[in-house]
Amino acid sequence: MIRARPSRILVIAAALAAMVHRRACAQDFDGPDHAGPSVSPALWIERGLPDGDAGWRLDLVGIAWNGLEDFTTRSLAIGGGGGPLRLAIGVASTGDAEIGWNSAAAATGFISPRCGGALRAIARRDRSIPVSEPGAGIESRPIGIECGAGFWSAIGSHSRLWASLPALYGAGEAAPLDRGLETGIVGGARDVSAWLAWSAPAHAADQGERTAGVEIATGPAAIWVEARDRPFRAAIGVHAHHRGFEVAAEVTEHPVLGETLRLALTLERVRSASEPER
Amino acid sequence: MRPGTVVIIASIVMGTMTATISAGAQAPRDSTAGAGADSAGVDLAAPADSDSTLEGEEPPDDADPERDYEIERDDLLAKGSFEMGYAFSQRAGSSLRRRRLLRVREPTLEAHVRDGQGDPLAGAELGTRVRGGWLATGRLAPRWGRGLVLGTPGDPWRSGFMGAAAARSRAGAGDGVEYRARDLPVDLLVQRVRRVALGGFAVDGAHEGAGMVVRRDESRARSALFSLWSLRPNTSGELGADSRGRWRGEGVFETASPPFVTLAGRLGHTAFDGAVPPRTLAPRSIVATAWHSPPAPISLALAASWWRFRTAATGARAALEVRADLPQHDRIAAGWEERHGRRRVARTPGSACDCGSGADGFRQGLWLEWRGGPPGFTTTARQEISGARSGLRSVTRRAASAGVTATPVRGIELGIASTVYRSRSGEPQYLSEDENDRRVLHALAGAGRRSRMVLMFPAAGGRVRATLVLTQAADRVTMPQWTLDWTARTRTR
Repeated sequence: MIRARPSRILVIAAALAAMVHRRACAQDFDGPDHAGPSVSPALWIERGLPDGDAGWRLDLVGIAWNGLEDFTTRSLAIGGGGGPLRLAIGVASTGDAEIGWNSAAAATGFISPRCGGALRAIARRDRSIPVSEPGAGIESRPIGIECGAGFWSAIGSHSRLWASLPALYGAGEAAPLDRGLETGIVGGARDVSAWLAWSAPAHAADQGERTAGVEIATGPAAIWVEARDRPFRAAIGVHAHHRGFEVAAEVTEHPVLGETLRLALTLERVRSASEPER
Repeated sequence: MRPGTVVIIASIVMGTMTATISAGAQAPRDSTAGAGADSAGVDLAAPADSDSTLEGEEPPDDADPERDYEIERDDLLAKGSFEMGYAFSQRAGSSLRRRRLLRVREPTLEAHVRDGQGDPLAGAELGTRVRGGWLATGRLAPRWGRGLVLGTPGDPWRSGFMGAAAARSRAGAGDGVEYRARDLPVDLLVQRVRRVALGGFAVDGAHEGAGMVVRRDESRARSALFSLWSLRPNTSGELGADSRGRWRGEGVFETASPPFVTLAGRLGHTAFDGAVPPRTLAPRSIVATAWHSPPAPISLALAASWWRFRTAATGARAALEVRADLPQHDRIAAGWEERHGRRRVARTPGSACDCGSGADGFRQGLWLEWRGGPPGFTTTARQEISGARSGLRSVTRRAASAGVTATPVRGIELGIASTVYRSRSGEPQYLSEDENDRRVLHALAGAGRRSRMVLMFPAAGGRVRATLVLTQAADRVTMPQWTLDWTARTRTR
């Protein structure tokens, strides 16, 4: 989906290739949060792992990839639901008019106290028109579609196991990342939770990376740190919540590619467990 | 409706059935199929099969490692009922394929008919009550004792070796006729297996038995083999001999109370072969032992075996499995296995050779599996790695799977499963996937992903199973394949 100046193509292609082993998920809605099920609609779309109470949330996500100034992702996602059902829709734009693509996506799923899951679909279209042969007609911008799913299941009362299969099917222009499978387990007690995860691209099952992280929450704020191998790198994130307004940020340091910064601003209207459903 | 009428009507409906009449309605059958055979995906998320081996299912060693392997499911039809099924499937770039199934089980008649283009399980089995006994015709897979003389012997590098269950190999299956007397423990058999003609007679009591089989091979040379066996809940054994005085014996003993220890051994002449020589040689000598703890919330199982084909061709295996049964029927299991030496010693016509395969040698493997979830939402996740060097280095196979089966409404089931894999040439990663009437072991070679989506719902008095399989190989081209399978069971009385 990337067609423009060769030098920039090389830079961004190298960055994307390196990200292949980073996570088995897409990057259009990859907001700041720890691995596993999330309350963020953007991440429902990203991973297919919905979590959280009934209500509505609006996510504004911005990502600066690997220190590339011209290569950022901006996305907007809104999602929520009532009872066990959840729905999220979102749009995103990555890169610029020369090298980049626009995305529209949706996810639908359910949540119960002991399990959850969602189906996700995303369509991407290049922002630039491909260079055509002299004399040939104007080509249309390439489009690609990707569908996947995710699910999680409770183990006992304090742990969950999850699996994200974000790209079960793809058609048209190839997706920017080779997304295979991510599985993990998260557990915790009181305000501390920890997780272990494994993820791999579809065509390099023997190159899977392992992730370990821990989150400490205190009142309306939380901080998490995460370490990954191949190559070894770390991420640190924080989020804070106040009266239906939430901000989150995560910084990932890559030894070769540099720093990736994720920011998210969330507006929410969430029904607490004690509040009756209308 | 009389059972015979049912069979005749169904046969007419099913049209030009090219099946070979076969029998042994109780005998499990298996066969190989090309990779393009009808298949649907993984029942990764199906409820745990207590008999499944956690180290993964593999076809028998005489199967082509490059091809899928199909096994008839051990799904016994209730007495006084019949089953019909139609299946359509299509793989991208190939024509539509059709498969049909009919099974009848009555006190006086049993029939099992499959038909379909390229279906490796196509064929028919018929068993009927006759004067003084039961007559079965068609493809038979008889087994005496532990399979040393008739049937196929177990492989000591597999978990099921100690058990008395029939090996899954198709080496001993072939068309034939079998008569079992009703009031006498007498069994008569005439069979043809891979150009070997057999005629056998057995006296088969409740636990012990003795039999003689006469074999005539391609060269029209005749020989006789004799077997004496015992099959009891905690002990089993067999002593086989041929007319030239060569013999082989095998025995298994298991303690009935804790500690649950099993000991097994095999000994005999190198040149001894069963009535139908398997494609790969069976080990001449075996020593095996196993121990497992009581089925507590956390159970432990250990197994070790050593075998020898001949002086220079030996092998050994050790395995450890830990299983934790959690509340709500959840289960976590982990296992480790190490193997040395040869597993396959190929046979050339007329003589044996020490031809090893690329899959032989040192292997170390580790697996971790989860099955569970709340009612109506069963999840599975599995990690598996095997290497040719210690510490799981020089990876020969790597696979990761996850699957879910949801039952949103009674009678409707939706399943999604996906596996990413990489395997070395000659050592495919096998993926066990259940279909309505069979289990398919898919041989996944190279690197890629196989995803399967299944929807099951009631329709037309039966059950429809719609499956979409997406296989993405190293060239990143997605190969879709769909199957629509309808099956209905009805009681005849």
